[in-house]
Amino acid sequence: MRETYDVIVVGGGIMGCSVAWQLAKKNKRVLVIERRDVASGAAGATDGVVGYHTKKPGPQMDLAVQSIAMFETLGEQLGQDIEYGLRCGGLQPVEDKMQWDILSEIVEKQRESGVDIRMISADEACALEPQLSRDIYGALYSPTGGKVNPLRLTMGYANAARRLGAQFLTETTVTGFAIENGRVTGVHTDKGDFAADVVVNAGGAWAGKIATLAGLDLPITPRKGQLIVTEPIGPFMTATVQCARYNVVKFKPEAVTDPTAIRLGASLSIEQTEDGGLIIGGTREFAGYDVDNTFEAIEVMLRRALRFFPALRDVSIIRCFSGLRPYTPDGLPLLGPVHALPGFYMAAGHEGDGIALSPITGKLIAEWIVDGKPSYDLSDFDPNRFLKA
Amino acid sequence: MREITTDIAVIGAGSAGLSAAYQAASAGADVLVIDENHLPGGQLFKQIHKFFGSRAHQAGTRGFQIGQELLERVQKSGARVWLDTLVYGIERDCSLGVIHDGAHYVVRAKKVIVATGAKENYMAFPGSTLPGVMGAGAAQTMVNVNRVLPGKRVVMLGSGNVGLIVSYQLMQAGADVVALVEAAPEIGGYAVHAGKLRRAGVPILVGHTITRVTGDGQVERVEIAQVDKQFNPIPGTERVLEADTVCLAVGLNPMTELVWMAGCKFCFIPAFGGHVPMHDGNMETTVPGLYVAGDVTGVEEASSAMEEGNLAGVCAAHALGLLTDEQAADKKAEINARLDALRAGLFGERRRTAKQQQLDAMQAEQGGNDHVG
Repeated sequence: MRETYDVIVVGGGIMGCSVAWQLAKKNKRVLVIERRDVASGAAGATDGVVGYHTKKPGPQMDLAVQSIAMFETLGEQLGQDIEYGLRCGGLQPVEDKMQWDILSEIVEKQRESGVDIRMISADEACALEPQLSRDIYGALYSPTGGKVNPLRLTMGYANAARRLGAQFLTETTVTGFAIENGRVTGVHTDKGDFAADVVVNAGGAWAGKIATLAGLDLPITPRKGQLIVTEPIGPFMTATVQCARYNVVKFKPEAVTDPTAIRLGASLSIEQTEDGGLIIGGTREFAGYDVDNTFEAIEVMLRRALRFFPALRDVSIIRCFSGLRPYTPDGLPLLGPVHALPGFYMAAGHEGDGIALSPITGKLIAEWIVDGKPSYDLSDFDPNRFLKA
Repeated sequence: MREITTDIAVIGAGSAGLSAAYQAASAGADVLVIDENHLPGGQLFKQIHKFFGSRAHQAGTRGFQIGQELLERVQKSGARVWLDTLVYGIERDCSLGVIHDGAHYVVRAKKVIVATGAKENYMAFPGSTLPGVMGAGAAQTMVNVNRVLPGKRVVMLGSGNVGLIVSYQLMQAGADVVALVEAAPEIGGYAVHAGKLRRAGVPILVGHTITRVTGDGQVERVEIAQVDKQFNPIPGTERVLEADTVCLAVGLNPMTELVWMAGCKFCFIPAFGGHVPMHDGNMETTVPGLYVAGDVTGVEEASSAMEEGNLAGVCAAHALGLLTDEQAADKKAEINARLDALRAGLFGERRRTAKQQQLDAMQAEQGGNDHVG
C-alpha cells in the first residue's frame, strides 16, 4: 500500500525538521522519514553556538545574517522554549600577531555583510569575560551572536510540524527512490513504500549516501566533532568563546602548524548552557562514520580550554560525545533542486553551521518547493555545482 | 599524554581486583592495579566483623585483616598499585584513559580486568535529600574507616546483612539505633546478625517503611508507617521517630560504566542488581581481552568476589601463556570448587541460579560453540 504525500523529507535532524515545519506551515502534507530518531545525529550531538563570526565571508555570511535574525522570534513561533541566549555575543581570543592578522582580514570581509564584528584589545576582552586568561594578544568580538539549545530547537521544529499535521516515521531506513519518467515519485523504505511529488534530502552527514540511492554522486562526507560536558557550575561566562584557531582551522587551515591540531582539526569552542554545564569542543576529523571519543582529542580540547580559562582546572567532566557534521569541499551547503532528477531537493552540507542556518534553510527550501522559487537567491549553494551537466 | 604498557591492568583494588592482581602477578605477569580511592582494599577495610563460611574462606577472620593479608600478598607479588587514580574512559581496543598524580596517561594492557564493585541504591521519599540521609555503606565508611560518627540517633532502612551489620557497628561506635525498618514481612539478612541487634534492644519493625523525613535543614523527625501486601503505606498507622540520621540499606547495583563504554554485551538479572555484563567461565566478557570480577559481574559478597578475582587473574595469565594448560586447569578447578561452595545452601541458591543464567546468556551469545565452565 502506497501512501501519498506532497513532500517526503529524508532525515529527522535539524534541517529535516526545519524544512518539515516550514512546509507544514504552507499546508503541505509532509512525511519525515528518519533512520533512528529525531535529533539522533549531529543535531543531538553539538553545542548551540549561533554566531556570525564563524561564518565564511560572502554568501554563507549573508545567509547567516537572515537566519540569525529569525532566531529572535523563533521560540515564540515554535511554541517552545529553545533557551535562546539573544545577543550573548561571540568572542574569539587571539594568541599572536599571525592569528590577529588572519582574523582581521576575515573580519573585514565578514563586515561587508553588515554585521558588527570587530577586533578588540585583550583588556576589552577580559572586561567582557572576566574568567578569560589575561595572557592573550587580543580578540575578535561579535556582540550580536547568540546561543541556543540545539536539541530543544530540533524538537521544537518537529513538534510544531506535527501540530500542523506533518507525520514522522522514525526507526525507518530509506532503501531507494521511486523514479518514473526521469523524476522522483516516492521513497522505498524497510517499512514500505511512500509516494510524493517532491523528496528533500536532509540527511546531514548521511546525505551523500542517500543521494547515491538516487544515482547522484554528491561530495558530502562525515566530519567528526568531539565535545565534552562539564558538571553544572554557577555563572561562568556569557559569550560563546572560540579560540582564534577555530576560524583559522576553518578558513585558513594551511596556516596551522601544530601537526596534532591539523590532524584533529582541533580548536576550542566553549559555551555555558542554561543549566550551568559547559560544553567544550571541538575537533574536525575525517574518521568515516566512527563516533568514538578519543583520549588524544579529549586532552587536546581540555588543554585549550585551560589555556583560555584557567579556573576550569577544578571543574569535573561528566560526559564526552561526538557528532558527525556534513562536510562539503567548498564549505558551502547544497540547497535546492537537482536538475538531473526533477522533484529531488537537497538541504544538507552545512558542516558546523547547521544549527545557525536551520531557520533560513527551512524557510527558503519550503518557498522553493511551494512557490517555485525562494525569496532569496541561493545560486551560490546550487547542488548542481557538483554534478556534471 | 603519556603511554604506559603492561601485561594486565586491573581496575579496582578491592576484594576482586587485589585477588586478580595477586594471581596474575604470581604467574609472572606485569600487573598494574588502579584505584580511585586513597586506600586499597575496597570494602574489605570497612568490614570489622568476622566472615562466615568455611576455613578456605577465612571464616572467623575479620574483613580488614583479610584485606591486610591480601594487600601484603599483592605487594610481594610485584604488582604495581596506583591509588588516587581515576580511570575516566576506555576505548574500543581496551586502552584506558587515566588521571594519575595530576597527569594524563593512556594505559595499554594486553588484558584488562574490571573489578569496580558496586554502588549503593538510593530511595526517594519526601525529605530524602535532607542532610543526614545517607547510604548505610557511607555511614559504615565514616565510622569504620574515618572514625567519624554520622549522627547520634539513627533510623536504618533495610534488614539485609548490610543494614543489620552497619546498625550494630554504629552502636559499637556510640550511636543509638532508634529502629530498623523493613518493608518485607521478614528480616532479610542472617539471623545471627539480627540476634545481636535484638539482644541490644533495637526494635526491628518488619512490614514498615519510611514515609517522610522532616527537619529544619537536617533530619529531625522520621515518619514511618506499616505497609500492606503491595508495600503501600497503610493510612492511620504513621508514627514519628526522633532521629538525626537515616541510613538506607536498600541494596546495591554493579558499577558497570566502564564495561558499557567498552561495548560489552549485558543481560538483566534482578538477583544480581540489574544489568550485568555477560562473561564466560574464564570471566572474559564479549569484548576479547576484557575480564570482569566481583560485584561488577553481579552483587554477591566479598568471598565470592575474591574467588572471581582469582579466576580472572589465573585465566588472564593463562591467556598470555604465563601458565601451562595443566597449571591453569588445576587452579581453576580449585577456585571453582570454592565458588560452588559459596553459592550453595539456603542463601547461596539464588546466586548460583543467577550466575548460571549469566553464563548461559554468554553461551547463547557466542552461538553455543564454547563450553562454559
